[in-house]
Amino acid sequence: MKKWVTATLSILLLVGVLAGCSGSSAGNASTNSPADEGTNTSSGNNAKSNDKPVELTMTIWGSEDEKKIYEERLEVVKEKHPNIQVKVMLVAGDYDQKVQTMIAGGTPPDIMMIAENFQTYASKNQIIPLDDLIAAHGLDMADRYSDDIANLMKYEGKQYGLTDRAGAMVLFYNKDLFDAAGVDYPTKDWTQQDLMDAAKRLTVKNNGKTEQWGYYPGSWWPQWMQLVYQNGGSLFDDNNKPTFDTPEVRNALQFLNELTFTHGAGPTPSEIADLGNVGPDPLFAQGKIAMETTGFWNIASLSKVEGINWDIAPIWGVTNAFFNGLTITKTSKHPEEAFKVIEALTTLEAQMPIVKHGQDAPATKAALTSEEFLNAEYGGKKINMAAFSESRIYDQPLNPKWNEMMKVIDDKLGVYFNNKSSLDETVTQIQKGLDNLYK
Amino acid sequence: MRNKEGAWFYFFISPWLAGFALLTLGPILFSIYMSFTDWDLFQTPHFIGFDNYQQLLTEDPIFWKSVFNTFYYALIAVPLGMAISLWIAYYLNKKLKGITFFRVLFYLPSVVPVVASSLLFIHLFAPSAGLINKTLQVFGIIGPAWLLDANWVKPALIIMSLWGVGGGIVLLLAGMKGIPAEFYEAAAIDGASSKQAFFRITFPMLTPVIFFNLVTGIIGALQTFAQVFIVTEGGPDNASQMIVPYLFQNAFRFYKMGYASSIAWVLFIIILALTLVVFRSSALWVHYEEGKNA
Repeated sequence: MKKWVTATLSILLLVGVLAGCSGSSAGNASTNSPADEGTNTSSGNNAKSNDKPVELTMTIWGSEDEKKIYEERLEVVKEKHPNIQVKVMLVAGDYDQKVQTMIAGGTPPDIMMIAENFQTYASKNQIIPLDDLIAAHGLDMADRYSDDIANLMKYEGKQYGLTDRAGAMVLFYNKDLFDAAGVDYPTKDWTQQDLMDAAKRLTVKNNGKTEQWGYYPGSWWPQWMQLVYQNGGSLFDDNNKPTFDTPEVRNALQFLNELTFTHGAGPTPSEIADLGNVGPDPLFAQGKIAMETTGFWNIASLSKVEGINWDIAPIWGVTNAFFNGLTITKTSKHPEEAFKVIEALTTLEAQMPIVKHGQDAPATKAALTSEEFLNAEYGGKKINMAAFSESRIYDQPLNPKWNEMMKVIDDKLGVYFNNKSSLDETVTQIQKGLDNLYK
Repeated sequence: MRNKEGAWFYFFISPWLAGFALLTLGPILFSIYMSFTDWDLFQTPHFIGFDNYQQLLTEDPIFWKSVFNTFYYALIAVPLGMAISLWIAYYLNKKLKGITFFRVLFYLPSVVPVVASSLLFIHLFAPSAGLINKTLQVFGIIGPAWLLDANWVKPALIIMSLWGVGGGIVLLLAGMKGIPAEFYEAAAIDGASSKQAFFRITFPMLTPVIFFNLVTGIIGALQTFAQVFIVTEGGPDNASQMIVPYLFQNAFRFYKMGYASSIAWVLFIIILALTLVVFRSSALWVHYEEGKNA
């Protein structure tokens, strides 16, 4: 393992030497290019490239099955643009690292699937803003996406990608356990207090040992962050200064800590470790937790589980979205064609395979409200798919230092969510760390 | 004759030399330069002098925490591992029926990939359901929460490291086999006890192997990566963060390749200094049978 890391590092660095030599000149030359493309007679270029066969590479993560879904969708694209051939490259393992290596090595993909950290690539000038291309091709963004989903891929006011898959976080609940405890099913009208009350009533103890928990908050960021935004708080103010030491954040964190430690309605880190660190999804499937909030992927997993009676509900107030989008790399030689491909991939027709295979929630308005999506059956039954389009999504505090920010926060929150530090200490330390990071 | 032999030497070693120059030496030199820049993996690096080193050594508490943790780990895990491997090797050297079986048994864990054993230990260290605390409970001891407890997470990693003593055992065992039987016969005739035989014959004769195990052990411990990366991710609150995982985080999670390069060079200097000290000290305690002229 160590050797592997050293080897990877060495190769990467070597590649860097080679890239570094040519990097300065290429970098300078290409800084001017997007503007040129925008103002240049792009239609003239277009006419020529229309006939010319072009081959593009597109990197994705996921499973072999998911790769097939992308290929199926690209067949739809091919009917529209027969001259463009797209090769799908499935990255196994560390996606970021692989793509970084490809970029540093001078063989970047043309189209790159990317999620929360697209801003890192945007801020480092590795993916291009699409606004000019969107205008040139007359793509009506307001028609294709709801605002909050289109905004997910904006950075400093510019659209850096076309959102491809985007599912809101929803509440999964076990109907049988709700019936047994005599608790009403969750609705969009719930409040945080309703969640707490239900979680308490859904917790079952036997001889002082908890056998069933109401809710699984965990320490994963979407769980506490949605509460912050529901409280009307945010992680940054309008001037992008961190606002972690605020009542809204404090209330959100305290809510989860009390749910677990005061009321015992959620598993503690020790109990989670004793349960084998498997995460909430399998525990929900086993009926050990009555509610969890998570993304679309759990629908596909649960549809394969027999003997569990479950449904989903939209989350009270705002929640976060799990999304990914398609971006075009700066060094792609065919940005024009790459845009045609991602435009075509986000049409209703090309999004349908996502729905057909139950892979994810599609990002476009048309697909999200399509009959096929709303009436899709999972494991032979219908569920409340409207929960996805009914959800409201908050403006997630994405920023180029996302990974560093999460480390500052997680280092301290991990201890607080294990009830080993005070709220005051936790919040002030995180605020200090963030002030230092964003000074 | 000698020249011809020399030519063959260079011929046979040339593939390795070429590989070393291209794939190791080049990147090493490159990383020295990068440690003086703000390289972020993508954009043109700018020369920033000693800024990275200054920030690392004066403004980065997590770096110092990871240095402390790494030394804590190395200072206990290496001597403990060596003592235990010597102890086990001593008994595995006995001429007993079925001893080969036991030798295989003790070596086997070293063959298991670190990733697999790490995943296994996550379960062993579970606070109530884990095998380790369940065993302690039999003796009326309530075990700590190990990986979740800032005070116990480093001891947990040390215990985990003992899983891999098999590699050292094999070398020591080979060393023991190489000790001429006459020495023991002579000692027995002079009436030496088995304890005396061990400390006066076995141990001194093994010092070259022990020396080798010590040097590679120190270097390996200071470069610990996979266990931390998989088992604890440096937590809780960096209580088990070590230098190499922190370097990795900076390079590939935070895109601070320049900063990560400076961490690598500080680690290199630490390892170099320690290795030199151990090499210097070897004259005092390592015994070579052939004498110094070998």
